[in-house]
Amino acid sequence: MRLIVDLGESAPWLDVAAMWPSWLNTAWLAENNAHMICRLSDPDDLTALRTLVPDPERLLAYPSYRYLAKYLTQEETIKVHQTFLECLGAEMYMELAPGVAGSVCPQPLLLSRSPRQNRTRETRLALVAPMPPTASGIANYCAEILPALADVYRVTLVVQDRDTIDPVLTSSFEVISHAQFLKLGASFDRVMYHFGNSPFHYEYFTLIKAHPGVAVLHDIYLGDCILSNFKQLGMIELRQQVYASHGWAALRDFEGPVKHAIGLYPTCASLFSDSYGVMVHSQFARENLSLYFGDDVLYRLSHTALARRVKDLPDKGISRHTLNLSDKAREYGSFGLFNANKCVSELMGAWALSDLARDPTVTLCLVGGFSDREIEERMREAILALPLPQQVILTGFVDDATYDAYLSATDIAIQLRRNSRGESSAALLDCMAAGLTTIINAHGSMAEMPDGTVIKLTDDFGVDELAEALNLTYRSTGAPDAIGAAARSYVQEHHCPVKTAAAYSDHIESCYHSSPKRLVNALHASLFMPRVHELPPSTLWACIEDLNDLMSCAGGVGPSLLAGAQLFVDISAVVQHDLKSGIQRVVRNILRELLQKEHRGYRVEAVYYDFATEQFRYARSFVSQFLGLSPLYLSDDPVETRPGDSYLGLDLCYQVTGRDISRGWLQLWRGRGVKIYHVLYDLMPIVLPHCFPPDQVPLYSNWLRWVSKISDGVISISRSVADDYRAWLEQEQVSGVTRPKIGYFHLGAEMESDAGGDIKNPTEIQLLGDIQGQAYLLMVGTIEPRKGHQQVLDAFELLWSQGVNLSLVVVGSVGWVDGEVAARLKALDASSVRLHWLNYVSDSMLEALYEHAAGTIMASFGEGFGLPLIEAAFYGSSLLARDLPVFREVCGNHAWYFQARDGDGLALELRQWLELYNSSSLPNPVGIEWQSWKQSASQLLSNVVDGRWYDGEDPPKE
Amino acid sequence: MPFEQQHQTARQDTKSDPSITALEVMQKDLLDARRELLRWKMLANQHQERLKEIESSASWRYSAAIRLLPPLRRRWKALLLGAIVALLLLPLSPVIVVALLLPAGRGLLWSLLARVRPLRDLLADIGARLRRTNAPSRGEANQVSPLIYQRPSDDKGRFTEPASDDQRRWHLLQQLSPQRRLLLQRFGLTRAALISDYEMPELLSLSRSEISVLNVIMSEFSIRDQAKV
Repeated sequence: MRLIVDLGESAPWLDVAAMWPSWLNTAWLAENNAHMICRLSDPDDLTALRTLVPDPERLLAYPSYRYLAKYLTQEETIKVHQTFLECLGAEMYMELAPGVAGSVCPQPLLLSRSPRQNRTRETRLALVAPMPPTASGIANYCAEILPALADVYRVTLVVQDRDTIDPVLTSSFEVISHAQFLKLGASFDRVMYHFGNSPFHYEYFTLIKAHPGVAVLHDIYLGDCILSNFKQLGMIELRQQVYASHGWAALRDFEGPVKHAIGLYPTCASLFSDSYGVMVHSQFARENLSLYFGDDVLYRLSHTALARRVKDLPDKGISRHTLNLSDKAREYGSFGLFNANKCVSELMGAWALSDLARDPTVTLCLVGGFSDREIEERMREAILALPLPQQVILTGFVDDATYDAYLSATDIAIQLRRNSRGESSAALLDCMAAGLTTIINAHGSMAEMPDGTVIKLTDDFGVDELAEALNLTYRSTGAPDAIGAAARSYVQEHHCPVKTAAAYSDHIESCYHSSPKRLVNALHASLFMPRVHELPPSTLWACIEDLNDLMSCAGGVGPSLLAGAQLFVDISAVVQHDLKSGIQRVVRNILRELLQKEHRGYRVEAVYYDFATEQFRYARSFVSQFLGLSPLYLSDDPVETRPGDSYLGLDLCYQVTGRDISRGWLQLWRGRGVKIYHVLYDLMPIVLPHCFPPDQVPLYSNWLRWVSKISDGVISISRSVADDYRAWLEQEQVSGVTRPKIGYFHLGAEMESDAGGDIKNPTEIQLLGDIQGQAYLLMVGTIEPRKGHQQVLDAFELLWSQGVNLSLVVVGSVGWVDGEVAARLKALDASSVRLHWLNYVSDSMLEALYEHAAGTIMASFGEGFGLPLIEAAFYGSSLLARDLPVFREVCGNHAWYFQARDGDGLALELRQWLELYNSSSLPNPVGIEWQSWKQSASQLLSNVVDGRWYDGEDPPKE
Repeated sequence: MPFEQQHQTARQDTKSDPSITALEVMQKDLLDARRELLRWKMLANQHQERLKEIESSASWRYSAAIRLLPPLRRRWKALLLGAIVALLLLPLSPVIVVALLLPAGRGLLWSLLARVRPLRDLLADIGARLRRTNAPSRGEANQVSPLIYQRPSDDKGRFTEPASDDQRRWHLLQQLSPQRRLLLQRFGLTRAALISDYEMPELLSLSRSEISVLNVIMSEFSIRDQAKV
């Protein structure tokens, strides 16, 4: 029994925190399976509230929707609250106010569920499916199960064009068009959709959004169905659906020809969010879906057997006579449409190898048309190559009566498949229902046929295996008949239309009774339908948005189209303005790796804070261009969160956590169970405040304080930064539940975009020519006090005065406050041939500079990681670094460290370095352990997703 | 060696070393992929040559004017507006020239022009096309104009006026993103067109509230229209 303890508004609890009921503790909550809910008076109340409640994981804090509340009556507000509780799965309820129940636990109320409409014979079911004579297997299938469904419901048929439907159906059932259904759909008690991968089903995608129901998937891929609207949207819509189902990583495969990609990605995820439940016809289809979608998407998926009626076939003798087949001939047959997936070439190869190929009394009938001319021609060539080509009969497309006659005339059937798309073979069931001994391969749903009802080859069978099976049936006299009989009784028992219709009905009723989406839709209808003509559209929209957001806190509403839990990666700064700084370089690289990888169980979405509309938005326009994809035409919608999502503040953007409104969003998300994580690049403004502009220090401190208050975890870019952060938390006396977990990851070392290419800029070519002739040390980084340029320049000027022949190449633009050093560099660059200051260089130029340098010097007084050192090692440059823990962590024994704090000391140490350089005894940078951005991103995810945190002593296990 | 014997040997080899089979499958897949790539490259070359032929033909050059017509037709409102404004402003041209010379004047003119929606859309469209042709390389997407569907919000005035059911539904349906409206248009929900010619018909919002709004409108339809049926 799930008990909900309603704390009401948060503010009164914070005012009288000392009056927390003594009995409401962790043990009591666990014992009673109780969860607390609380309405946040102010989003920032969450931090204090989480310190007050006994088990913060059992607290759901939801926002105060004052906008929505403005338009609701008191009665309606109660109704909203009841639905909210029902979506939470509450069975018992208790309301608490501060100070009211201090020592005694009040008696909880038993909640009654909202009344449900039970099924009767008069329950109206709209069956949205093609119907005969539409040229679709699903049309025939639905006509076959119709009588059984009509025994359970009052069925209305929904078809594209009611005038073209079989008159037998129109006389027995109410038939309406798609257009009529769109308008009248809400008047039906139940709706059932049959989805297949053909154009007949295209409009169902719109209909199911307007009138949700239960979807039966005859094919799980549906890409061809979506593409059938090629005149209007075609590829764009397909790509949008692929994005919605599988995220950004899958879109790369849709940049070129989609012939193969369309069969790789099921584009049916929207049906899971749009419907109340989904059904498939085999365990194979179900497992296939679970390869792509997590349990949270598939939680309302069920499967039942494909219905097939056991027909009364004509007498074998009469059928053979009608078809001009000999009574004494041994008849083999294969049924259905012959395409590349029906293994026809394997069949012909095996036939040629088998003993059957030399017996003129054996015939092979291929009953059905060919999907394309090429396959048919290849087939005809293979037949001509047989010893007895007249053995094979190609019937082409046949009518139902001829199809039945062939079924009756056949002794052994061969039904083979590959590249299954989750469909179930009706032709196989026809053969089995006809009592034929059928040879199949264990592929897709066919593998689920029990042994003894078919002759089952391996999935990836070879022609020899098939030939052996053919020989077996050729030589055998008794056993095949037994298999046929078992097959017939199996179909009779398991694929009976009445049984399948009952399974459909059970699932429909279960979904309509227990789907939270259905509850919320009913609430929408009751609250807003009467107001459609009262409220202005935008007001109505805003109210609906508020209600959806509230219900999503309780898991009542999922995202409209996006499948699965989401990991939001905040790139607010890069989206607004890419400064190309070190941090933004990390952001771009990590983001690219996260987006390009397919993640199991969640999807990665880049988001940004839109300061104009004061909300977080999906960065779809940005990502589409960033990944070099074709335009996706998706709006940068406001972010929709659900419990179980995660947020990762990858970009450093002070405003997002610093401002009340944007931070409020993060607090509200956290309140509903979204985990909040932030990446910490360094603590430099706190550790080295004199190296930063005075206004930056409080800004940064404020940012870090808020990050620490609202985050579940903080991931730094090195162990040293993680240690510094831990020390800072101690110093700030942050403890208890508000203290975030700490993790770290290391950065990658590959160069971006055009690295590895030739230098194209003529100025850079000339400059490189000048520099290459000299022995030089390279210094990379923005010109700012922290980087230690002043000390290096002092040391070099001293060395030059002593006649040391070593140049210095400085790469970096002027940073925050170091005008003095910049002026000195400018002057030296102009006057000395031994100093080169390159304000901006291309990646290719930087790579060349690393390769030709005698060494790369890192004189920073503090760094989060020291990426230039890794990059330098990557290109084989010798490393000179200040003796800091972070550099020791990154470079280990592969760098030469100096300790001097002034120019003179450094000059002395550089002389020692030169001696080692000349004697080739410097530490070898090549052995340094560096990782790719891909590894870096997975290390980051190991913290965020897998929860591997750093406990302060041991590094996280890989 | 007879065929059957060859086959036997191959079969035995395959059975003895499954990795060879896997390798063969991989090779086959690779070959298929290469064939596919070559086919597309050939097709692309053929089209390139054909394109060059077409572009160099005289009739193509003459038809340039005709090709301009569809985009002009799509933008007729903006063009008409432009023409009217140009005619009206002709007597004021000296003042405009002076205004254009001054920064404040230029700012004023731009702010006035930006208020005319068809012109703003036209300029945005041109801007988007230019940006698309000069798309940055991978990883360098720093100058992106976010594509955000702006829902109509200035509806208070309109809603004080008396309106038919059909008009009110139309206004509500206008809250849906263009692609959603485009797909609904075929079902004949209202008398007026749901999508205007200046809108980007491919633009889709995946917001869950769109679906909820659609549910609510359709529920309302069902109640009223069923009564009529």
